[in-house]
Amino acid sequence: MHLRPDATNGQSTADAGAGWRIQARLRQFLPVPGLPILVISAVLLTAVGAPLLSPHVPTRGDLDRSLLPPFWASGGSLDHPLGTDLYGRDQLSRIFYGARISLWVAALVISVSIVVGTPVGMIAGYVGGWFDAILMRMVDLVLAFPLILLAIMLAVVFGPSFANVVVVVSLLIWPRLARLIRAETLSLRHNDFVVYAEVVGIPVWRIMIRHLFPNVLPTLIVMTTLEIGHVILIESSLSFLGAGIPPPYPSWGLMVADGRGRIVTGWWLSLFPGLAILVTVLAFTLFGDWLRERLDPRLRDR
Amino acid sequence: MSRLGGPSWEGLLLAVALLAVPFPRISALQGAPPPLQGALMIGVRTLGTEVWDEAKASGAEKEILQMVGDTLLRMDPATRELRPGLVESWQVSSDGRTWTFSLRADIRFHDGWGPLTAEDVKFTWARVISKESVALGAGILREAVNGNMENFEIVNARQFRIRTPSIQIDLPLNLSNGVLQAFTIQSRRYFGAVGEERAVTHPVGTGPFRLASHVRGQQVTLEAVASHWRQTPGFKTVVVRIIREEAAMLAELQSSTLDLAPLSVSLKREAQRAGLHSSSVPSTANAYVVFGGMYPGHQNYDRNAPWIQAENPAKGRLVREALTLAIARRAIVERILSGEGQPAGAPFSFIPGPFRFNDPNWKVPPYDPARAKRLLAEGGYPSGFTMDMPIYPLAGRPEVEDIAHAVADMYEMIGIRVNRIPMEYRPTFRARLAARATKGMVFVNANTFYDEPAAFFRVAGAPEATLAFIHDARVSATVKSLSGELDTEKRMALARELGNYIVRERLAAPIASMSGMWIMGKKVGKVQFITSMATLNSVEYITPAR
Amino acid sequence: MSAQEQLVLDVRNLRVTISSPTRGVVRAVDGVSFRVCRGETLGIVGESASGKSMTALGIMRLQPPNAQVEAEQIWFEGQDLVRLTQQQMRRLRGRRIAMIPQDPTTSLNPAFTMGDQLSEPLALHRRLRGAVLRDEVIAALRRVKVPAPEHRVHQFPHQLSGGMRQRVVGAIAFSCNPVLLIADEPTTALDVTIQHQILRLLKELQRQIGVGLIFITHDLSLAWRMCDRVAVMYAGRIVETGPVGDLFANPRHPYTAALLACLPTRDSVERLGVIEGSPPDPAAFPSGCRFAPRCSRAEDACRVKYPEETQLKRDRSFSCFLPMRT
Repeated sequence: MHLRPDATNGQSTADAGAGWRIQARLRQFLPVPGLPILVISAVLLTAVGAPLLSPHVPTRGDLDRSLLPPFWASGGSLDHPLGTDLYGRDQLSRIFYGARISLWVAALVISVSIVVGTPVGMIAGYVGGWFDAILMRMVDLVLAFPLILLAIMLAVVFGPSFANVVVVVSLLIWPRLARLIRAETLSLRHNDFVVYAEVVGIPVWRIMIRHLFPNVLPTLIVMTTLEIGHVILIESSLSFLGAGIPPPYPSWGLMVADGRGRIVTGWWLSLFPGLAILVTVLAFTLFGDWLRERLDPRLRDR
Repeated sequence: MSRLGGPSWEGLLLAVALLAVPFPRISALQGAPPPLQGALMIGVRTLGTEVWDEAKASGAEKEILQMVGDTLLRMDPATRELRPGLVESWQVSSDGRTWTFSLRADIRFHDGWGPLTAEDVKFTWARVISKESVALGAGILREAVNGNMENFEIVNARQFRIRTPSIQIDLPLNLSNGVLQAFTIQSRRYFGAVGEERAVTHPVGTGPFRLASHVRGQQVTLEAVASHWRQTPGFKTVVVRIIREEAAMLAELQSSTLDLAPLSVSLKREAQRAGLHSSSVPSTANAYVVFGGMYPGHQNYDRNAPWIQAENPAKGRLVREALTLAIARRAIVERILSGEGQPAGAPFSFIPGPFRFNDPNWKVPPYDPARAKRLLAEGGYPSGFTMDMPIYPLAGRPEVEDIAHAVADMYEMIGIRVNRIPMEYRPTFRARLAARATKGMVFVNANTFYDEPAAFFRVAGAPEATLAFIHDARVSATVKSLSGELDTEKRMALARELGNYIVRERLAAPIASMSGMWIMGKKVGKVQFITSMATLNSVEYITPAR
Repeated sequence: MSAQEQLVLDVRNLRVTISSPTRGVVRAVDGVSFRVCRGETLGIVGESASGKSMTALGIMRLQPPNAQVEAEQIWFEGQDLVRLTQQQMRRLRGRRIAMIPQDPTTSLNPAFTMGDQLSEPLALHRRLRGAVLRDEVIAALRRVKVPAPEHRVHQFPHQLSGGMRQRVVGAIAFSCNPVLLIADEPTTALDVTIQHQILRLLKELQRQIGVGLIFITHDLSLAWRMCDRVAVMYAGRIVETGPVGDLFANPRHPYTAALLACLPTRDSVERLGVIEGSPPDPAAFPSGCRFAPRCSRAEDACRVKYPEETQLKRDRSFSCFLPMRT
């Protein structure tokens, strides 16, 4: 893209000032996806505010209030708006705290994955050669390993726990991230400005951090958003199988499992946490897709 | 003639034809053939190895074997008292080491394989205790003859004598159909004539049923024997089908492609909602809270546990009492067991019910959390304490896990901090029990029915046992006396004394007994399962609905 | 070149080979030798795919990943660049050896301001910080005649014209007073009017600091303007080299002559001359002289063996069996 000298030669833009620049940027926005953002905000809110919002302690049960239906069904009450489970624990509170757990796990897993996966991916993509080959074979190895099996094994040996879930799911996610970062790095690696930075003598680590990373960042952000949904699904699956978050802590997956034997007589047990998973994962995925739409064309339009 | 892009006459005709074909009913859930009219369809989770050989039977195969064959003794379904079976009378010598059994005269094997004699008993016994045997009762039978068939004497065709190396008060019990290790008598002539391989795939016995056909992995079809010496079955044909998933069983019961199946109690509401009725088998298990570390004299003795307090045992007892009063037994029975059970007054093998080892003075402890808190304070823990609670699933008893969680909740309500530790029973927790490594732990356990309390403590309550919940000198002493007492009345009195001691000292906190649940369809009239037996039995006594 | 003039770069038999899975071994640069002295401009002239850009990358050891750089020697300031590690090369790049790449648009990082782009090498190579750094950046921009440098430092590449961007690239190249500068078609992406400005600037800066300049171009007229000596490359090899005046007046190699014939003059009203055919596939060079397929003077002898280099004078040579007559 080669600008003619009489076009934006810097003078006019400098005069117009920052306002015009911001407006120009805003015009590039695609229509904002209101509903997913709303849902995500709601989930974040309940996750953060669970202690304040929950009418009851989620892990404490009262057998006398066992298996109460939601408030609109006969036998239900507003004291337990979404009913109770076998032990008399309030479902609404458990859903709120479940959001907390899901998002907390997702945050930890994604942080670990970014911290591990980004340097691995960038180094593999930049340096290439045998380093890349070894790293990518390691990634293949991790991806080929049946991680559900590993999770169950860990759960049997060490007992299911929060740490287990984070470790296992991180093991699954970081290679995907590393792969993507590597691909981005590879595609940028031989871009002129990277070669030029080498020409100018900038050391490799500085090139990776200052020059490559900011260009890799949008992809990273998009992937992060998409992976949140993925992580929540995996964690729910693990908890459903009993290899994830241990009872009595509420995880949506665990709640769905608990309701499995009472689909008819205790329909509220699996339905609401199942819906929660569905809606949350959908929201994050839609948001991530929108983000990808928004960021990528702009990137390619250099 | 079809034109491009438009529907064709042929296609339309085909679609209509397909719609007109009635779809097969979803009894093809397991690809089973359509049910026989007038047959009783029973569902089971498994039929084990599906080889009908007493020497190889370690579990589910026994259900079929006991339909095709008979055991030496039988058990009264309601009281669990021993009754004659193939054996019409038996006695033991005064030193308690020689047992003489007399067989009935009129027992004949099916299909003309001749009368049943003491030879057949010896033949079956020898096979069960042989080196290759993996039978469930092998150990007990081997012990009875001290490993040597010389100790099995055939007096005549109808009488045989067994010399035991020591007093074995439960020998007749183990020859009856009321225990898991029951064994039926198989024909020596038949095995000799057709060879072992055919004999165990096409079994011949003296029981109320004949095995008609067997589709491996799917089902066994049995035909009733007309005029059986003991009981002619109520249904002419019985089909026992293997259905692995409880949900599938429930679905088939609803659609009447199944008439009888065992289901876990958590599905009771669902079954009732579907209009099915249930039959309970009471006292199949007893659940209780075990206090860990109670092993005086052992290296893992937890002297300072709040519930022990070796320096101040009275206070320890107060804490145990508190932990007993904090449990809402009725709520557990109603909510978690869906009513299939009974609050218990005593733990371990003293399962609630009309059994002679039970003392009616053992009252179910009241649910009194306020008093529990006071007792805790008196016991030296006004602000509670922390306990670890391993929570493990027991095979076939998912309710125990639920009970454990509920008990944890109840303890938390009186100020105790419960650290729930989910784990597997095998190998993790079992290894701990074997090593007596239960310091700081309080956990919920359940055991199956034991006719003889001594048998339970020998397995799970003595220093010599592989697993032990407690070590206690007085318990061990009483169990020793129990094992040597031939007289049943005296033995049961000793058992009640043992129970009294355990209840008084609150060596464990009772919770409730659990019942097994059979769901029945409209075809079934009356059933008469043996109390405390969770497996399929007494099929010949099932009568059709009128 | 008199004895007093200092040698900056002495390349002997430089080869850059690319192993491609689809095309086999591609010999992009197939034995190239030349020297550059302080303050002099050597032009490397040739068509696209003649290997001239790869020569530059090869010297800087910035060849693409599947390419190999070999040479008898690449002598630079007492070191043989072929034997240096990448680590050691990095210490030279940007500081002692600088390069002005072809397209300033894609060479500058679009996410950084001009100030950032300049500050980085200055901070790195000359360890400047803070106010001193800021002043130096402004000074560097002034040196390349960028108007209103105080404003430009805050602008992004896409806000500047092509010429302005190339000036900034030039500023970066000169900021650390390199000893050797390689300019790879520095004006090809620019308008004709801007080209002249940039080239004039380049010449001036070269005079100021006496840097040895390798000027790579396909445009003979630019070579005429900028260079002291010229090396003509064809199919990975140098076919003729010599002082610019002599080369233009008396080309010996038919390819050089043909190139010169293509130059438009004020008199040419008819069609521009073209050279028939296209350069050979670098994965499969013909035996013998590589220009032979397109050479009007070629004979059988030309196709059998590659012509040895004929040395006429010091710094004047060609490789041809049947050179043009003077």
